[in-house]
Amino acid sequence: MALTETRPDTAGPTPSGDDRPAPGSGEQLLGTGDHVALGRLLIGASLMFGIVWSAALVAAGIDALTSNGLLGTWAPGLATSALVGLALLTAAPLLLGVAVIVVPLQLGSPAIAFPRALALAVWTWALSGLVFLVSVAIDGGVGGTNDQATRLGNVALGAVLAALGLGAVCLATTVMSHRPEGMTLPKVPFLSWASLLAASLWIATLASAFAHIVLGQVSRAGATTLGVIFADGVAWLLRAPAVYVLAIPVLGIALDAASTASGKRLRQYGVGQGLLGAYAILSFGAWAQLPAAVNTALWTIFALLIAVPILGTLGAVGDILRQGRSKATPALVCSVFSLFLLLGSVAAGLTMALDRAGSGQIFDLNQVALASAQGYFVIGAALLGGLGGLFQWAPQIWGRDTATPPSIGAGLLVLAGAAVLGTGGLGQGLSQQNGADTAAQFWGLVTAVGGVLVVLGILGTFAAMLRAARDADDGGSTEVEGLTLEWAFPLPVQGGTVPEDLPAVTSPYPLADAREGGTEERS
Amino acid sequence: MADTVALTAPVLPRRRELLFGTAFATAGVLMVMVTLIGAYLAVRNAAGTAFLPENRIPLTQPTMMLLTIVMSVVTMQWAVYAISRDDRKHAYLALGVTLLLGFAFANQQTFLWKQAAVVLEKTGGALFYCVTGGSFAMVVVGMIFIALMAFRALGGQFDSRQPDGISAAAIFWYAAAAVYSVVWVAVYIMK
Repeated sequence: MALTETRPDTAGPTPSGDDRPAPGSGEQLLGTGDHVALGRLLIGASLMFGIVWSAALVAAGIDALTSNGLLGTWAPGLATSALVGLALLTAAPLLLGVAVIVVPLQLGSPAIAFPRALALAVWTWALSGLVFLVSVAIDGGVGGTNDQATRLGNVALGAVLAALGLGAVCLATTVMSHRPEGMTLPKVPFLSWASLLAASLWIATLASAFAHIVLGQVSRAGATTLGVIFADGVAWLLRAPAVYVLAIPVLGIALDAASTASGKRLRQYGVGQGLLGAYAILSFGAWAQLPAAVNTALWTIFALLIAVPILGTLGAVGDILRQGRSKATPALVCSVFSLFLLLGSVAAGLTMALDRAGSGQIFDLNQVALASAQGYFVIGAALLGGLGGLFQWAPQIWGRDTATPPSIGAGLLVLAGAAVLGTGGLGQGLSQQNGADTAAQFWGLVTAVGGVLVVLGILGTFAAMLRAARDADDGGSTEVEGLTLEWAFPLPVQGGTVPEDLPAVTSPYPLADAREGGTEERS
Repeated sequence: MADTVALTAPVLPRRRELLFGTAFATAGVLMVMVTLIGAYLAVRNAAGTAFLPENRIPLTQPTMMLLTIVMSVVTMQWAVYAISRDDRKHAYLALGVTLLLGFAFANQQTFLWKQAAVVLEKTGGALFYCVTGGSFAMVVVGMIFIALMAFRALGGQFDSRQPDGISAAAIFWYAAAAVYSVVWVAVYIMK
């Protein structure tokens, strides 16, 4: 039968009849390629991982407080694994989750590029994260002592890196190929621009770390050798400059949150994009993999110069806010404070650089603790910025605004936790000279307190999100007037649909143009 | 005969989506290989004469492999040129020859591994297999990519208006060839 012929009539119901059993919610979730559903999955799972890994930090802190009376030989591995878990299973996927929901909407696209590949990435990431958690529980993960468990942790970590890289490919491709007519790269909204930069840097950075994971697996290494491979080949991910890649989207979130809070544009849009680009370039750290790289002048330049785009972004946020009356929304508060946390990391980098300037002979500080401080500050900034993104685009993500005092409280708890952890690491690095363990119990207490604050902050975020979802079910609406295309989508947003009346794009703020009735180029 | 019905025009995939996706994924693979080659050179430099002293790695096969992959780059570009001009017969022929050359490359690589007989547990053994195996894996993945795109081309999905699939496969193939060129210098020439 040719396709142009009509189908024969059938007595039974048609394949598209209503009596077909509808797939259950579990089946829908497992088989979905909807970017909104996948993004929600990433966000929910990353926050749950965040609670677990912060609790692991608390346990490591209590162990130090009790002079290794809690964990025994498990202690060093647990602390390092918790840092890895907070970076790759909490902060990065939280930002990725926000981006995969919001970026297609900002571009006026009904879908993300390669939705099936994204689904593969999300499920691989979630399952590998669980396997990594199990391996840590049986004395493996990173820095464990059990050979089999450590190998299991190595494989799981490799799968996590590959999954995040694949998700980043989908995100970057979306920005490059799903833009509507008129939206050239200089007119891409800030989160989308930051996501393109972040995804590109994540692909390069995570791939480089993945190579060392492969090497560890091919060489059939035991726990000790895998520990060395991690220290020499993967640990650079958690210190400057590479650790800054985790927080690239935070800068975009801050600029978008400022525009939404004030209803005003950034007048020098290109400068804002340039600041994000400069930050991205200075966060490329695959060249500084060996521990000795910290001794180089280039490392010092990268570690200190990154303060310029961070301060510039703060200035740009201030420039937007001073144009009109602004509300201190949870998104604005979280994203601005996350920039201050990034400056804390620069301070830790400055201390490291000063120490190494004398080849470690003048100050002789604890470099491991200082590197940890950098990690805590930047991971905390990424987590807090991610929460800012959640609050900023809560209507698109959950169907209801979350601009409530509990949201701000949750963000401030995470801020306090990250600040305590980072400042604690900085203090520990300054006080523990000659590799001694001066006041180890005190620094253990500080770590435990910081971990508890982060756990409470994430739990508060969950509470705010659940409340938003419940209000959305009750038919709530949002009164936010955004400037970019994602605010033109009817709520609750569902993947695969685009409003027919999307305004033409002639500037980075098409909805603002439509409201003002102008179609002139404004950037 | 029944009345004819008008079908809606098929929705073409977004232009350049596959091309950008492949480019980003290829960049990630390149970073993996660059890191592995860097680690290989660093370990070999540190080990000096103790680096794989019992293994005699020949140069004949690696050089033939280089010539093979260079020829396949030419045939791959021939396929891209042909499909962008709707010359389907030449496109199929070029893709077939590229796959044949890729198979020849893989065959020579496995023969080389047998000849070199590098032991995994020795210093540098794992790195040797990571670097050469990574390059080999790129070629194999590239062949699978080309075969898939060739089947899609046979199904009429690619033409001068939508040549992205063939171009995307070409991008990955060129990267595989570039990586092998570096491996040839780093592993087989500078030994």
